[in-house]
Amino acid sequence: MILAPDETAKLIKEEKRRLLVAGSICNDLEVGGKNLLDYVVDIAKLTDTPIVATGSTMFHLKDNKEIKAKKMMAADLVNFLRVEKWEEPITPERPELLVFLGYYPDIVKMLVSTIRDGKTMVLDNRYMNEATYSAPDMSFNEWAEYLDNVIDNLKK
Amino acid sequence: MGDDQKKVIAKVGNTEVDVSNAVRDIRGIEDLVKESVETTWSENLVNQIKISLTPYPHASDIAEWDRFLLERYPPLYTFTEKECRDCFQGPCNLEGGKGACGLTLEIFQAKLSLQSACKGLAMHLFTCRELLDYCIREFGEDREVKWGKTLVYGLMNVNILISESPKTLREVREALTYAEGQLPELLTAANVGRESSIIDLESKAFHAGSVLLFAMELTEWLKFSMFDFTWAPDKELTEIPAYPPPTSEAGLGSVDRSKPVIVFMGNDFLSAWMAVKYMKDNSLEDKIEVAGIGSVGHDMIRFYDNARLLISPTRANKVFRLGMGDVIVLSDTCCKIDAVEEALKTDSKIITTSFTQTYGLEDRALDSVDDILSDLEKGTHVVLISDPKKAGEVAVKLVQKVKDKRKSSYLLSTDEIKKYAAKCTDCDACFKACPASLISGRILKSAMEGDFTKLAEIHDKSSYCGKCEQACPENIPLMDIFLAANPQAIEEDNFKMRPGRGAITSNEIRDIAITMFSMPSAVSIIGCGNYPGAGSQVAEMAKEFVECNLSVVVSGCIAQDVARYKYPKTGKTLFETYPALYNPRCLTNCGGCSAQALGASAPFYKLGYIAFRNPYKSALAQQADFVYRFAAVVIMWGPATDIAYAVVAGHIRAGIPVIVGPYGSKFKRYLLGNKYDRSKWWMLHGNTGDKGETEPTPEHMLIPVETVDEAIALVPKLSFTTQEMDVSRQNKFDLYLNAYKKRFGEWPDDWHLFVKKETEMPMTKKAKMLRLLEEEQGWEIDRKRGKILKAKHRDGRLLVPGDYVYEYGFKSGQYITTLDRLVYQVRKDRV
Repeated sequence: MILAPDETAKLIKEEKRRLLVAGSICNDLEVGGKNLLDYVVDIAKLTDTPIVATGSTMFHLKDNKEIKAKKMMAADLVNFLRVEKWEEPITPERPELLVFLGYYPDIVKMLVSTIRDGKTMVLDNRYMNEATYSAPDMSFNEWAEYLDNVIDNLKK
Repeated sequence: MGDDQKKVIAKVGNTEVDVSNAVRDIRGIEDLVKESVETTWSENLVNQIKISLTPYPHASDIAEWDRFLLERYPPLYTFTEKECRDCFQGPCNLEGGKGACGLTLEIFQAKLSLQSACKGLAMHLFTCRELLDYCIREFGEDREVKWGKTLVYGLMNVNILISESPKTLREVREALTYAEGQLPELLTAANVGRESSIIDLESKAFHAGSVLLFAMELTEWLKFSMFDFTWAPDKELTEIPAYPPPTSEAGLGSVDRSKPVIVFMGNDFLSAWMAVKYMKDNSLEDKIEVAGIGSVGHDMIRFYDNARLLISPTRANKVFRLGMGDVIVLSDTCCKIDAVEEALKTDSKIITTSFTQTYGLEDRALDSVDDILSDLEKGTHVVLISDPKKAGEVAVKLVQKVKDKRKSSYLLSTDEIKKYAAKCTDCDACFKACPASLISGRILKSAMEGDFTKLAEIHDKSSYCGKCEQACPENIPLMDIFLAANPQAIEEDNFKMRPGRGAITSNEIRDIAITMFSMPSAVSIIGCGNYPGAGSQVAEMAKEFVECNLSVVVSGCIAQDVARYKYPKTGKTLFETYPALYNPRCLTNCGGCSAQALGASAPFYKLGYIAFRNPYKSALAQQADFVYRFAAVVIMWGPATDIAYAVVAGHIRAGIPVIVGPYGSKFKRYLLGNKYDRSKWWMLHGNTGDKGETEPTPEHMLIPVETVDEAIALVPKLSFTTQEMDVSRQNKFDLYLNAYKKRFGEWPDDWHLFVKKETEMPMTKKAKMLRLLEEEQGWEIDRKRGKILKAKHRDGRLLVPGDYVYEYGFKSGQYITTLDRLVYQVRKDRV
């Protein structure tokens, strides 16, 4: 389902058991003059959501005391989700909504496709049919605007 | 087999054993089974283990091992395909329900997995068959084949399935016939109304992998035996560190374009071999450049010193767009569908040689060379010549005629780049299409203003798949722009390559057996060589591993990318810096595509026999059970082709964990263990059969990673074994913790799962490890003396170190196994 920024923010706020998943492109991409990882951090801070840092993103999060973040392999995360008993300490309870940002399309497609039990949201600028919720196809400028709007709506 | 079957007695030392029940059906292979037992089983072993051999196996013959793997590492499917169209009752959307035949979504994924592995197997079986048929026509079926003077035990991927390595071309044909016979059986199981168990389907996918490695090894062997490819097993151990010398010219800048240039592409080297032979016979070596894209290039530098290895196949668009080949010769596998269309853009002449890539042309194999040349000179651009000898001769003659009729450069000018960039509407369709997220409208905008910096970076990072170009609504020739933005990079793409050396020798295995218990790991990096992001990733990994004293083997097209790195101080490549042995702190290249069978499973099977006398003849399960307990890791970097899928399946079947890079995200399934589920991590005590809990290792058998950093950090983790010397574990802790700290800024959260005693801790980290065990894990530590007083078992009990070591993992030197059958017991069927 394609979501507008306000719907995205509403869904994130509504789902209490949520997890942000930050991929390797977060380190490399600037969107609207801002590092993509900064958007992840903003969302995490505004919603008090822990971050699973995949790829090499943890290196840039480790000193940030305002957020809870942990380095994991993305495959490990989706693997733990397929068993009934949730034991990964990043969250005390099994997350119900995973919000992905900063992934090559093929990788995030693979990741969300494996998740059979739980909701997924992809906030990259390519529409991801396999996710429960996805941002639409966007240019860089549109993407920056979209993410800024999500942040603004989370602040409300 | 009936009860009235005669006994078949094998004599091992002073013990006589009836081996009539050692195989599913011994009829017709009595001598083979008897000989296998007598030559590779020890007397001690035949007295304690029930002999079970699987000569010429079907997948189900090795199911005991496959089941173990698939239960510990249950397949994680990607579910990217949900609609089955395999029969007349379809299409059936399997999301939320069964198909008309009862098919579920999960079983469908397993079928797709098997189909993928079968496609990979089929492709290489065709390559091997083509080569073998040519050899038999040329040399006769009685021609003896040679293994090389130091390859004592023959070909291990072959021996492991059929007991013996062939000695004549006739025997090679018999061996290949077995492999070919497996394919329809496996493919049939993936058809409508057939195999319905995920475990059995995946077991068959593994089998396709084992058979593929078998066929690849046969192919490698024919290349050496019949065409004098470089082959380390034909050399003395003292010669191997420098063999073959790293002197082959490679890269786009290695070609002297003032001469006529023939470019070969594909997986069949025969026409290239014939062209070189014709050149040598006619003293044309100094007048013509021959170069290869992909596998054929890797083969060419193994038989012709002047050959140039250009680039991996998917980046072939670079070669085409540069107009590098005056004549391009295409063969089977790894050719682009639009190779002809691309080549014609720069007026290259094309000769295609394969029955599988005919481009709608009539075969000119029966026409005279002169007639074919005449047509090509008159205006025909493409011909099909299935006879490699004739194709080679035509290529050499043609290239000398067409060279002067072509332009000297096909690169866009700076003004042309700006003109095209100005057409960009900043829609970012290119960014959305790019699998590596490289190009975008803003980069083109910079180019329009004369800043080519970002474009120049793309030249190196792009795999030149061309998706951006196809997506562009303004038809901007983006690949041409990337090339033209950095012409210097093309000239500078010139480096020295160590050609493939073929198999790992028995002498090297004897050598490494001594260091095996202290060596951190053996890493085999394989794959097709085009991956998103950068051309330096494989070199970065190889450099990291070899500098950390790992034994590093590369094979497949990625081997070329390893050579692209040069040490800034010395200007030397990794191949020039490190010895070409199979040993710690060494880096060797086995060769092109088919050599992927040589770098991981084969040496470890051999190690199993040489160091532990673990029988190898038709004993895949027994050997894989052994290899699984040792520290080997495969990294598959590059696209998830069907061949890569099957190669990976073959290595997993051999008990070796595999890490796949970002392009591996297109694999249909992964095999991931769960470190939190303690019930999964056990081994059997080899003498008692008692099940003991172990460390969760190797945690995964097939895992995708996003970045080089993740791959580097995973290798030491997957290399932990439950039985190792203190020094080995110290090395692995050092690598694992350093990799995490350096790349992710912190230690991993699971290192404590691998601690058994303080003597396994590296000195530089011991104090911190002990402190963290006390503070975070609840262990009792005497920090002053640096001792563990009580270790906390995963079940919560605090145990004194002696008990803990006894109850968690196994001591080095104990015999352990994963298979009930291999637990020692006094046999009752001794004669």
